[in-house]
Amino acid sequence: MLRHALLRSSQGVARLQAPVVSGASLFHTSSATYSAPMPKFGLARRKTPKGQKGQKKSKVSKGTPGNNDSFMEYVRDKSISLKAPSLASDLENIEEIVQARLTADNKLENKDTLPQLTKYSDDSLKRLHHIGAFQKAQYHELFREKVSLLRQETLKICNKLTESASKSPKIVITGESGIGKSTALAQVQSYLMSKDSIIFHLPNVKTIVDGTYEFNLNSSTNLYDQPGLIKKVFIKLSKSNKELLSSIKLSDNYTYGTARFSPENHSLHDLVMLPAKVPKNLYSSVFNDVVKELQKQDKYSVYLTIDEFNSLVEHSGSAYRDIDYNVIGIDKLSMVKFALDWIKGAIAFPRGGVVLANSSNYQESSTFKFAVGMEPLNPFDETLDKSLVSYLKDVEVVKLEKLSREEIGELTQWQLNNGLIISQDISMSEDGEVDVQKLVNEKYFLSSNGNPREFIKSCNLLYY
Amino acid sequence: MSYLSMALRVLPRRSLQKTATPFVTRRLWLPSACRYNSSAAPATTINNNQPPLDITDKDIDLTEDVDEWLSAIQQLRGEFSNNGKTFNPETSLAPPGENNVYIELMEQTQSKPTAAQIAEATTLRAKEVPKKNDELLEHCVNLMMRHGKKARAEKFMARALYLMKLKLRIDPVVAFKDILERMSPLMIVKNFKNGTAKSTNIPVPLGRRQRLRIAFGWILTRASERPAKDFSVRLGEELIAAYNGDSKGFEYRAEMHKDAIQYRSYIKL
Amino acid sequence: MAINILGKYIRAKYLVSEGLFKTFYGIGPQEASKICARVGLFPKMRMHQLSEQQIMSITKELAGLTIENEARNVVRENIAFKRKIGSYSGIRHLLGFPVHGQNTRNNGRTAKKLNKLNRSG
Repeated sequence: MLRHALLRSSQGVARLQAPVVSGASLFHTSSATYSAPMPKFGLARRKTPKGQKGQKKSKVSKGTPGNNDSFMEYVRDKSISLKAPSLASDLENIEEIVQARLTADNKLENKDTLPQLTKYSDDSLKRLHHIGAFQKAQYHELFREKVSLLRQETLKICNKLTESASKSPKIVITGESGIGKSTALAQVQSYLMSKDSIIFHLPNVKTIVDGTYEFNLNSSTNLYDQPGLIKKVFIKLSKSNKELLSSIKLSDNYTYGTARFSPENHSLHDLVMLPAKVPKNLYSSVFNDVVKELQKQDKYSVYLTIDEFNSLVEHSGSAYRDIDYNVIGIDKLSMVKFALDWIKGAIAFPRGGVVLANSSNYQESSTFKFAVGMEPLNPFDETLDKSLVSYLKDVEVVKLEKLSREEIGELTQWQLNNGLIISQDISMSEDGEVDVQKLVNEKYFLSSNGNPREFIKSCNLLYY
Repeated sequence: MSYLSMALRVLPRRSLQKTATPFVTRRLWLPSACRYNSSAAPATTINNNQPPLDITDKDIDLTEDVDEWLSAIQQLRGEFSNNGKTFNPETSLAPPGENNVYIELMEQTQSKPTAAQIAEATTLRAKEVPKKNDELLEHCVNLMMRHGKKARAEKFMARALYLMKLKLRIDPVVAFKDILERMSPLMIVKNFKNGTAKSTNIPVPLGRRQRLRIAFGWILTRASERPAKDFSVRLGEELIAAYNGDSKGFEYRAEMHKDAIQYRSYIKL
Repeated sequence: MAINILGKYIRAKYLVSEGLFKTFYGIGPQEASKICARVGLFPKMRMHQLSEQQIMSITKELAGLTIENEARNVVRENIAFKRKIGSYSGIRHLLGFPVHGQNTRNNGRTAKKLNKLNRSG
């Protein structure tokens, strides 16, 4: 009883506690007082202990444990990348390298200089940012520039796109998680930008079919329009292709409500800007007119690019329902129909093509796999969507392979030179030099035999 | 379960008796996973340019597959029957020209190590097996761990160190150890009771593990008071502050030392 | 902020279908999304995005359904009918015991709360 009383009094009387160690007695005869209360040595516990009800909760809500967004936000903060070492002097622009390689005689056979670390040119970097080509967990914060690895596959795609631009080649990039599909797409985009092409990028395609946007039935086309989506796509289109679009003069007079566009005073960019005067219900006709204008011009080639393409064709039905509660198929949504028609070849441009990239966050549906020739026909597959197959059958698959041991070696050397490998991982040989070969072997093993994302993780997020 | 009995279960018994002619005249449904040699199919059916969109009964004709099944079963039966004798794995599975399956195996196991191999083994035995993890880091991870979720604690620690690496551009593990060494107190005042009611406070030196534990405890406490949503960010921010000498932990250390000096007369030498 | 539909306040941040089935007795998730489809709302629409006209048409849809007290009355009538014909489950409802053969030694709190002739919930 006495001990309890003492304990209670010691809590009640202001902070008189001397440093208390777990294991030592709580009550202390010391008369020492401290300006700041010292915490107990017990480790930080978020939960209020039993019997201490009514304790004040911390004012800041800290969210759920393991909140990934907070970490990503911190990492993406500009102060970090500004403090990072600059590699500008060491690296060349990717567009120039690809250009040089594609015009060279030996073209793709010469593998000596690949893979190569590259950066983007300032112009295309800006445009890529507008498109949203850089994703969260790509570890771009490690350096000031957006660095990427130029690989043989990127060259192959760029070669295909330039060689047969009039036939409008269709390519889909596949591969395992973290292999660099989105990066490859960004590289191709930056190359296309340097070649003066208009990039028609569809952002966040999953949101097109999952019921995020408002929709209404267009009675003339019998398709469902999504005005909010058209607005979003136009914003990306106008920002990332501003100069090109403003150099295209309109070929016709257009009137939407009170908004008038004439060839004398307006360029295509003005139309894509979608002024507030244009009523919402006419967005789809503006969209059709913009496509028509792009088809008429012969100045620039036009490319469709979609990241996370497999999320769009994961299921044949969308989340939308019609008035009779029937599922609306994805090809009934006008924007998806437009993209699929382009992929099929029903919508054609004088020059251009289609570059798609899959995402490992979504599965590749059996319809997709069968349509692009990754899988044979399974006659018992009930989910097979025949109409979707006809849209995708001309698409060519480019599968990204894992990096070889030599390529991982180059990357390791590069990480080592920039001081990103911790000393714990480095083992010295007898004459005091770094045992690079051992390090490379380790990293090759840890990167699951050449997965780029796993490699970066093994260098920067693995301390055990 | 043997392959034969598995096959017997999958196929209807009646069909096994007639083996001379293909018995399947009507369409037989078999799940694709059960199809014999189904991996061989792609070479013939795959056609990238013109995929057969209209799936007809022809595509579902499995006559050939079933014939293959039956021939495989026949082959298995032949292998297992051993010319009419009862099946005995030791004799039936013997390689051609041998009576017993184990004879060859016995010979194989009687290999002798070469001199070089023995020498290598002795040198390797003399070497110490390296520790999997850094001892101090693992200790701190264990202190952070809640509800036995070690992987979660490791993730927090790895991310906090990653933040240190990004902000300070140094080797984070070295810096982490440096912080703990600088922050950890050397002495602690402990309360000793002698038999009667009287008790004395005596400063006691701390071991390395004890010292670092106390310092990391302070870091964790201060980290949990930070506003960031993710624990790894809170810890990372605190570690960065501590590296720059801007942490409460250093004040606590000074106070503990002050306290120890106050009671220095009680030290028994 | 809250949206008023048929005299009931629904949180503005709720999805429309979510708000409907959480608020009205007699409407489940599927019926709620059917209502949304009939009115022509997109699946991820929030309550605060509803226009005056859309609220009116939702109200109109709800008027055609047996919800709230009407739906409760249906349940009450069914219980009353079971009681009237003297069936076992009718008697169990009368006594306030579980109907489906559960033990009554320890638990059965839900049954005690709900199983009444004049059932409220």
